[in-house]
Amino acid sequence: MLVVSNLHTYYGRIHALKGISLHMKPMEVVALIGGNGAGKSTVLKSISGIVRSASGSITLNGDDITHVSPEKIVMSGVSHVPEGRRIFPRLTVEDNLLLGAFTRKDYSEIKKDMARMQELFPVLAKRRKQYAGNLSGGEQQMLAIARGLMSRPMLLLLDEPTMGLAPVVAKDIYRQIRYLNKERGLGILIVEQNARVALGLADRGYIIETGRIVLEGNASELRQSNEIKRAYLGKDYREVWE
Amino acid sequence: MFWQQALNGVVIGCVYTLVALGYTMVYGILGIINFAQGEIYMYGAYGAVITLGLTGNLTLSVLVGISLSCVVGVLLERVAFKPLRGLNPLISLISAIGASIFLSSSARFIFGPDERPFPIHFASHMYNFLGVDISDMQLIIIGASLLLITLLYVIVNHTKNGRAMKAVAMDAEAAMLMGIDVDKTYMFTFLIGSALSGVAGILMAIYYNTTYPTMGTLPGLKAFSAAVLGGVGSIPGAVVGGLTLGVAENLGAAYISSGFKDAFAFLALVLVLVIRPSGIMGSKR
Ligand SMILES: Nc1ncnc2c1ncn2[C@@H]1O[C@H](COP(=O)(O)OP(=O)(O)O)[C@@H](O)[C@H]1O
Ligand SMILES: [Mg+2]
Repeated sequence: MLVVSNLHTYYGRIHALKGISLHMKPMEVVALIGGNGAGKSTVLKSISGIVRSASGSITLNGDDITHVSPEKIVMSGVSHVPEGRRIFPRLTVEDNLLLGAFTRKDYSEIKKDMARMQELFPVLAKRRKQYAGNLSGGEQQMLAIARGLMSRPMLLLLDEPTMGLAPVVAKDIYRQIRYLNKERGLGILIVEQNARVALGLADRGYIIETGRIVLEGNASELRQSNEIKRAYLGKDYREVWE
Repeated sequence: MFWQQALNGVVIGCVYTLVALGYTMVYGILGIINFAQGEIYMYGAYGAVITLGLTGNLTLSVLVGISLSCVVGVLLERVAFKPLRGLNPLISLISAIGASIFLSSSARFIFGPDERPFPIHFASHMYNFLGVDISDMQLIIIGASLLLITLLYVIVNHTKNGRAMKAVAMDAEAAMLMGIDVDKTYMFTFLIGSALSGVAGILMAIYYNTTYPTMGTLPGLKAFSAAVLGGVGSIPGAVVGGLTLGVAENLGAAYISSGFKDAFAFLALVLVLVIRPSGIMGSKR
C-alpha cells in the first residue's frame, strides 16, 4: 500500500533522513522505533507532506505522492496524528472532530461519523461541547486519534500516541489502536520510542537511528534480537502487550 | 453636548472598528501587523469615487471600491508577506511599513495629490433622538458597521472557512494535517480584512466629503491603536477598542482641547496599556 524508497529530507543544513526505505501492506501495523532525534517524526511528516523531501519517493497504492500537497494526501486516505497531539485547544471537541473531516463534503455521513467517534471514545461524547484544551492528556490523545479518523483514512500515521500518559491510559489507547486495525481494517504506521510496547502491537518493525533504518523484520524476530533487547527493551524486559 | 459628542465618537469609532478588525484578524491568524491597512482603506475610497465620477452608479462604485481594496490586500499578502513567511516577524513589519509608503506614494502618482470631493451630494437629513442629533449618513455608518460586524461574527464562528481560520490561527501545521490549505486561509483572511477597510474608506470619503492619498494614514494608525487597545487578535476587542477610541477622542476634543484631538486617541492607548498590557479583551499570555 505504502512504499517509501531512499528518502532524503533536510531541515536547512540538517540532514534528517539519509535514505529511508520502508513499505506497508494493507491493514498492516508497522512500528517505527528509535531514540530521540532519530528522524521518526520526520518520516511521518514527509509522508503526510508537511515536510518536503529532497529526493527519493513515496507512493501510495502505486500513485506517487512525494510532492503532493498535504490536503491531497489527506484526501487520498492518509491521516497523520502528530506527536504531542496538537488538538486545537480553544475549539470544542466537536469542532476539532469537524476539522478532521475538513476535506469531506458528505455532510450527513460526517454527522454519522461524529456519532461513531463518540461511541468509540465515550469520554468525547461527555465532553463534546467543552474546549479541547480542557481535556486531560489521555482524552486529548483520544480526540487526536478520533479527529484523524474523521477523514476516513485507510492508513493512520501515529506519532508517539502514548507519550506522557499514565500506563493505564496508554493501555487503553493501545487497545483502541488494535481494535481499529483488527475490526476496521486500518493500516497503522506507529512511531514509538518504547520498542517493547510497539513490537507487542505491530506485525513488523523498523529500527531507525540518525536518519537511517538499521534493522527491520517481523515483530517477533525483532523481539528476539539481542541488539534490540540491549538497546531498547532494557534488562527487565517482559512481554506485557499480548 | 456630552451625548452628542459621544454619538459622534461612536460613529467615528465604527470606522476605526472596521479597520481594526482587519488588523486584528491578520495578526490573529498570520501573526503579523499589516501596517498598510490604512492604504487599503484609501484605495477603497478612490475606487468608489473614481467609478462614481465615471458612471454615476453608486452601488457599482461601492462594489468597485471594495473590490479594489480586496485586490490591493491580496496582492500585498502575496508580494510583501508571503515571501517572508517563517522569518523573523520584525522583517514582515518592515515590509509592511515599506508597502504602506509604496501604496500611498503610488496613489499620489496615479490619482494626483489633490483632494477629491465625493461626486454626489448626499442631502443630509437630521433626526433628533432624545435631544441628540443624528444625520442619515451617521445612521448609515452605524448600520453598515453593525451589519458587517455581525456578518464577520457569523463567518468566523459558524462556517467551515471560519473554523479553518481559527484552526490555522491556533496551529498552522496541525491545520495542514486536517487538509486545510493554509495559503488559501491566509488569502481569505486578507480578503475579509481588506473588504472591511474598503467599506470604511468609502464611508469616510462620503462622511468627510474628501479623498486624498494620505487619507488612510491617521485612521490606519488609530485603528491599529484600537486593535491593540482591545487586545490584538481578538475580534470583540477590535470592536470595544474602536468604539472606546472614537468616543475618547471626541470627548477629549470637546471638553479639553480640540487641537489635541488626535493625541487623545493615543493617550487612551497608552493609559490602557499601562494598566492592562494585553489590551482590554486580550488574553494574558
Ligand atoms: N523543524 C526542524 N528544524 C530543524 N531541525 C529539525 C526540525 N525538526 C526536527 N529536526 C531535527 O531533525 C532530526 C530528526 O528529528 P525528528 O524527526 O523530530 O526525530 P524523532 O521524531 O525521531 O525524535 C533531529 O536531529 C532534529 O533535531
Ligand atoms: Mg518525534
